[in-house]
Amino acid sequence: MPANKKYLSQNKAQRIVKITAALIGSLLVTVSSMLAIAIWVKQPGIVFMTYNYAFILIWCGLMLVAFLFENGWKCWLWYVILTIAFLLIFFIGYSHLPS
Amino acid sequence: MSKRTHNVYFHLHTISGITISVALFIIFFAGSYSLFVDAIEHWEKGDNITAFVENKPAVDYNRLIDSLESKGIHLFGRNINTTDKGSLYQSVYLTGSEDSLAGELDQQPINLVLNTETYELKKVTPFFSLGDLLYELHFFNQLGKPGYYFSALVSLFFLFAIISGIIVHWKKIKMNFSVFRPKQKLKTIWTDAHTALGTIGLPFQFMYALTGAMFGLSILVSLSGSLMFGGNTEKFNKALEDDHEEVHTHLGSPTDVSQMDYNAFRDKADQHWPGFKGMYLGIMHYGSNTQQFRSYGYVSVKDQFLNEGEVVFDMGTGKVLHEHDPYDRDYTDNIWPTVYRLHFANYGNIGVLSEYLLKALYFLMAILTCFVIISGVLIWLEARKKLTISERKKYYNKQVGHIYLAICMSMLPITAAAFICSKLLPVSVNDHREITLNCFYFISWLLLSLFFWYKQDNGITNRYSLLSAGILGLAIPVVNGFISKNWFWLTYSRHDYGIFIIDILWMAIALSCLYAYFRMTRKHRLHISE
Repeated sequence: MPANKKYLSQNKAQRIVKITAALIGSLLVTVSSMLAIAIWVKQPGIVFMTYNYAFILIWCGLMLVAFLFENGWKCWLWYVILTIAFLLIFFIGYSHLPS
Repeated sequence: MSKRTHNVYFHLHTISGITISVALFIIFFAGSYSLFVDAIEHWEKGDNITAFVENKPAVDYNRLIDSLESKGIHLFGRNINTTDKGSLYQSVYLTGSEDSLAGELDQQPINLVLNTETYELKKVTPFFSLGDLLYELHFFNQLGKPGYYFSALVSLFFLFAIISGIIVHWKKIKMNFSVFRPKQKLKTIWTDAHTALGTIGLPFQFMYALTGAMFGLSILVSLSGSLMFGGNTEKFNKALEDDHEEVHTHLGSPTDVSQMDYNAFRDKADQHWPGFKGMYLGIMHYGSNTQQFRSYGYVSVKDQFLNEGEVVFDMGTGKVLHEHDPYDRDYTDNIWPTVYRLHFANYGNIGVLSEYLLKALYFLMAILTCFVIISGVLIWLEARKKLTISERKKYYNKQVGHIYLAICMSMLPITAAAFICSKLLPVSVNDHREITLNCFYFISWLLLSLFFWYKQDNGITNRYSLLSAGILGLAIPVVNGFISKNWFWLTYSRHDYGIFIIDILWMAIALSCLYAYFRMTRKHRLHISE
């Protein structure tokens, strides 16, 4: 009983979009979320240590979420928006950093 | 869960599983033996170098330094690192002297083995063990750094396959747990075994997928984390070690240390916390006025699961320069030790016998995971046999099945043969052990896989691998007995569990292989006579 093909995306372009969103898009969200938190806390070391394992779990979780989207482009859009939002939070913090 | 979600995750589980299956099988199979990496080396050398001696007195540092000096080694400016783990032989590692005036010979590090009864010192001769080979194969280190990162990615997709598998199986997880229909068609056997054993092994497999990926992928955290410091990794590392600042001192000027009592400092370190016992000890900047005594060790694992502690004394003043309290550990201290403990089945000083029992349990779980991987491939094969798919695709699937099974199953007899080979290699080829063992292992593995592929019969692959592994496995304790006179009843009565466990492990594997083989051939014969 292989999975019913009717529920899988048949379109090759869609597949590639979804797979890249799952691999790269979720990686970008994971990295930027780490930076966004780490820049605002007093002890960024704790955030980095946590991300040693959380990194893998978040990346893997977002990978799974990516395939729930029927339209892969929509998934990319969400992941890019999230990444930009996290990076904005990061850069605001970065510019307030005492040098 | 909607039908679509179920089918999407089903497909993801299948694709991610089948893509990583062979690599993951190799990782788990080699990894299950790497749990015993020290015992394998011990078994190969056949000496009782790691034999545990009960109530052995601690290493006498004053005597150790006397015997180092009597060997004519200039100690000034060196760090003297020793282990004190309760066995007869301990390692002594001398770093090169930091003294800029020291001769070239004195700036070279020296690696020694200490006999703690006679205080004789011997130079360590490099020895490539089969355990090293299997350990490296465990993360494809034979391919260098790319192999290492590849294994981490396999681990990541393993986690992906585990989670998607559980999502797919979720609704039936209770109902199907005790379902086993061996009398029905082949596919139900594989499916039932795959889901039931996959569910039982889930915590174990999840732990390995996560910790395995952490080793290889934590570099992504440090690479991206250092962006916060403008890409400066040094500052990043400093942020990680925030409250662990150590006092880095330089080599001072020479002083007279002939009256110094080093054992007193060891005792002082051991009394620093109740129940603390230093296992890795060091005298830094020997012979200078900035001489330090460093003790890294553990408190009883019964008091604390994560039980490392470290204390550094300045030997001139007796002041504590740095300490890491085993009873007061913070969150960041605990992450990596937890990972190492779980991944290497190294739960601290729980006693030699319990340690090997724990590892045997890990071994069993790892082999069970190997079975889950293979049964997954077999489901994939069976499920694609009856569909209306083109002949070409069917042929392709069949070949994939043959190749996968040939590579995975041949690993078992080849590993057994490699154990015999490593024992038969004479001492005179010790310098070429690495190349000999590697050639033997990988070439014979390749040849046997090609042979099984050529045979085009998964039944033959299984039966021949099990039979040959059974015979070779039973030969392993015999070869060991004849060559090193380490018969397993002798090693047991000598409490030499390191050697004993390898013989027993192989006997257990071989007997289960033979049992499976005879069960299989009986069925096979019945099948033919029908």
